[in-house]
Amino acid sequence: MTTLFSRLPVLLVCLLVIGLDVPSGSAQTEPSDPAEAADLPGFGVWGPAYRLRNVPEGMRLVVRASGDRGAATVGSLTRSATEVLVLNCFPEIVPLDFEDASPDGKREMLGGVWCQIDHYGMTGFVPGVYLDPILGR
Amino acid sequence: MKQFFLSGAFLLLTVSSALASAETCVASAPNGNSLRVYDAPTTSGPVLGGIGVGTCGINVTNQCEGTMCVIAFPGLNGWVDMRHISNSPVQAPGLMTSADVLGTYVYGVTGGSGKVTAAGVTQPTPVDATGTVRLEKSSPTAATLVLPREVTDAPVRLSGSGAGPWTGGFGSWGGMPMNVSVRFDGLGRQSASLVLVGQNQIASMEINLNLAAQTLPAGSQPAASAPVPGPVPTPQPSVADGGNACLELARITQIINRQARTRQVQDLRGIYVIAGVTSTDASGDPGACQRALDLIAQDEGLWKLAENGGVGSTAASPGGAVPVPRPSPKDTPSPSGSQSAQTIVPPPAAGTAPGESPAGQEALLAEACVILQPAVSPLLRGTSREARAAVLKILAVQGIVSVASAQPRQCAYVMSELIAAGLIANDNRPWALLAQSGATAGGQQGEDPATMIAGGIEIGIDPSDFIPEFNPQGEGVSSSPTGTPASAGPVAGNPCIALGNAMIVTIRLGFAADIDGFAAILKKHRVETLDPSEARTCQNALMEARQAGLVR
Repeated sequence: MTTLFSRLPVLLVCLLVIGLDVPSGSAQTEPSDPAEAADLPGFGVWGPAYRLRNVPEGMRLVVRASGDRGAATVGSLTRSATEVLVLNCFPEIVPLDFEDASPDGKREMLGGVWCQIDHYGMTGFVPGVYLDPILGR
Repeated sequence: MKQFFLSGAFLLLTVSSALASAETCVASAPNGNSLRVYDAPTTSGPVLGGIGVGTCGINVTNQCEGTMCVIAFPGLNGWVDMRHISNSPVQAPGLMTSADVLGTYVYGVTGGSGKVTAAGVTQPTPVDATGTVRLEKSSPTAATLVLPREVTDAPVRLSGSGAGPWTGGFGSWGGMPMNVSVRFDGLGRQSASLVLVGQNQIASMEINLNLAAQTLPAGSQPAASAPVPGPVPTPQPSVADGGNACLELARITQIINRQARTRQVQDLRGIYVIAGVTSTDASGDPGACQRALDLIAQDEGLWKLAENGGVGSTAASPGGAVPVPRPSPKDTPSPSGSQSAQTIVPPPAAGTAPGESPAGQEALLAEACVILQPAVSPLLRGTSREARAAVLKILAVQGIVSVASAQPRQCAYVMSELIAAGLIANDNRPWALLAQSGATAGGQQGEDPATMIAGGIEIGIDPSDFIPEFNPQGEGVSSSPTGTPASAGPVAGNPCIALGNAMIVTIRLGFAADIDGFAAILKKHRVETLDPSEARTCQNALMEARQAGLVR
């Protein structure tokens, strides 16, 4: 049973934005991260952002608390969701393997895993078969 | 009832609870997505891979330089920038500080927990792990803590010394009267904590935030600090006497990581991949861990390190339970050696004739992966990137991410391809024939390649993965938890949603009398959930709220 406690924050979040970020305009100026300059773009499954595929029209994709179809639902994604970030997949997809694979190969690899995703703050697990890497940008 | 709203204020800080509080996790990354794992203690070195932000279970070794330390993560060992790691038991020397330095200390929130008690009910509230908090130390015993303006406008004065505790308080949360006490522990340390405890006459709350240092005052790092030593492993009996292979592997990994050169760390990383080790804690796959131990035992360099680290003085395999004969150099070159350009001879399969009869072929096929593993290991861990890429390509064709979990026919195929590519010597066994044969070893004949991915499990499309779109026309709406609308419009007909929205508006307006009035109505109608199944209850409360002029 969903309680008021667990519903309310979501509704509130729709209207309010409060976080623990230091308010803009404050004196905080962090030094630039030296890693930033030398970093390459994302690597392996973490390289691209993802859109959804294989989600029927009029349906949303269920996001679960863990990589199991019996796990609790934590949210859902509209079928047109984009900029989905992959935090992790299991079984692990070897990064080099993923990098070297063709777009179809990447999709095929994703077809055998569960992935932990993040979509604008919502974190949970979806089968990789629904993830479509956005390549070439 | 005000508690609900107070809880709401706290819950605004909450979205996810992806991070466990006590684990060592990737807290952030320069690119926002994944933290690079480097081949050397510099961020300009080759990248071995990446670990997603929020991923936990990172084992940090005591091998550190500057802000970089070697981490061990399933399938990925290498150097990471510790500024992006939270809750590490090991501190990078470059990040150590005395906490005596005046200046600004910035910490990122990496996780934590919270709870709100209202009307005798306590609800846990996970915390958002994306924010930062800033503490400005103005004297040895005084500091100010800057919290978001939405929480409190004025900086919070804290008093304390050293690493803490630093304590203080403020009188309102989000404009509502509430005595909130603040306690900050771990100032100057890589990991710190912030506890906010608030209370008024109708509600109480507690939020515990786990923090990881992002920016510490300049000049606070000691010049020649040594890494904080972790627990020193003591020599233990091998797993032969009943120990867990994964725990043993974790222990040996730690020993090797402390002493190994980067190259050897890579060797170890390769072993994890090849053996299919995904976890070295007690819940790890003992078979995979044992395979990794066996491979370590076959690697002259790594085994020597493990021996020197106190694993044992005998030449026996660290696994013990399944001793693996140490191959002679002519059979299987040490992966730590320079194998990039040489042709590797697969070790002969014990007692197996080269497949002259159907029975012989069957037996050979059954051993295909056993033979492939030591043959492919040096290539994957070798210095030749080309060879490594070629092997990975061949493995990818078969969807193999772990030789340990591959099927015999897949291994036979890989063997034939490796031989054809000249990556290993031709052992005159009929690998190509076996790969295409109707032999049934492993039971994988005719299997759809898609089901061979990731150890033979295909996670296909399933109707249980879908729920109806709330708003078929609103394709552009962002994600939202199940059953909760992203926009009020299309679902405004649901009285529970309308009620929730009305509550939000009331909270935003902030008139205490209205809030109390709303609380009384909810209590009267026993509204305990906004689940659409409670539509009738919601409807009654909504009607009364409308009559009371509380719905705008």
